[in-house]
Amino acid sequence: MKMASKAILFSYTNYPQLTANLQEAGVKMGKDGMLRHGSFTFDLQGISRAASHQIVRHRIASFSQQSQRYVRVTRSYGYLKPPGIPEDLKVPVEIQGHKVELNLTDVMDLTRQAEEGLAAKGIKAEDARYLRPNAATTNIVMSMSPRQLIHFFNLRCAPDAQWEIRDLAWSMYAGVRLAAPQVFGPLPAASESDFIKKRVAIVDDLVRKGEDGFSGTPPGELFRLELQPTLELVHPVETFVRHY
Amino acid sequence: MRVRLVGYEPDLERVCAAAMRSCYSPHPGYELFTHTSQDKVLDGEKIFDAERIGGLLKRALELGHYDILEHNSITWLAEADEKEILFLMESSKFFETSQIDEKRWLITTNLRVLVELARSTNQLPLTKEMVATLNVAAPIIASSLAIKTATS
Repeated sequence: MKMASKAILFSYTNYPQLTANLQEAGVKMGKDGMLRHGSFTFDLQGISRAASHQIVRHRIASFSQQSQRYVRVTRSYGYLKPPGIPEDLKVPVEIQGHKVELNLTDVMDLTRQAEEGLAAKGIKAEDARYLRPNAATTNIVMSMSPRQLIHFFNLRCAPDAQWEIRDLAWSMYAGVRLAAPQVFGPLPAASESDFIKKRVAIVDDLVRKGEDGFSGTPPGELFRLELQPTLELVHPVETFVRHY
Repeated sequence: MRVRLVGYEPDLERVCAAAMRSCYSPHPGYELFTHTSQDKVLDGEKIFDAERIGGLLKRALELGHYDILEHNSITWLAEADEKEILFLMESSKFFETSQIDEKRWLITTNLRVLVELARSTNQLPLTKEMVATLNVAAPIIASSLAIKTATS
């Protein structure tokens, strides 16, 4: 089962409220000062383990990731197919003297069957999961301060970042631009990269178009920010922001 | 007032509880976060009501799984001297501070750090006052830690 990835910004600092509370106390903070004081929490759904391994390299941040020990493969099976591997591409492999040709879907299916088979024979899930490929999907809740997010975006929105985390980073960037324009503006890396500069301009435009819909979204509900096809993400990432 | 709570995310205890449960559920964090009525069925999941959230957070405190309490930020405007600020910054990587003027600082951290401070025997009056505001931002956790009503 192939999965669609989602990036849901569902909790974040209410900067208008924070600024108002500070002004009441006679304190005025600039944009740069506010970057250190806040938190943005995303629910990243249906991303590959390969991407989540890259994401958790970033710190200071907080992560809560779906367990492969406690959530059995039968209840969480899914994988993300890299667009760079053609659907019909087969590779020759030899199994117990028999030569067969397998495509990516075959290999995913084999590992699933083997993992479920081990579990059926009484092998603990924590051991059977060692068969799980990097393409296996996972869910992860991630929180970062605005300052750390900008560092994350500078690195992962770049053209040399891998397609999956790059698509996620652009989706998340668009989400925070919509939710907190008080602290998130153009990326610093845009001054050194035409690729980033062009995409920041596209996000600007898409966020501007989404503002009315977002502000009209009932409190507590999600607003879906349409990024495709304009942003030219390599794979579909559905982008949502919770409206306060 | 020496310590004034100026910012925190709404529903932050629900966010933490959803993050905790998402580690052990086939359902992702946001689906759990919004699982508030019988209208929507999430296979194998209890309704995410106050009782459920309280149960999960209390379990996290019992087990010492404080990491799930990191999914938020809480911000105060506080009167403090540099020694007190240094104490905070040495106690956790999750403290962010900005000096406003000679006396006042903007201080941000998360619920995990506050719980650790609340359970610490080595507290400053400043940290006690910060922890005392917990019942506003995180009433379930405050109640579990038996923290007195905030004076701010």
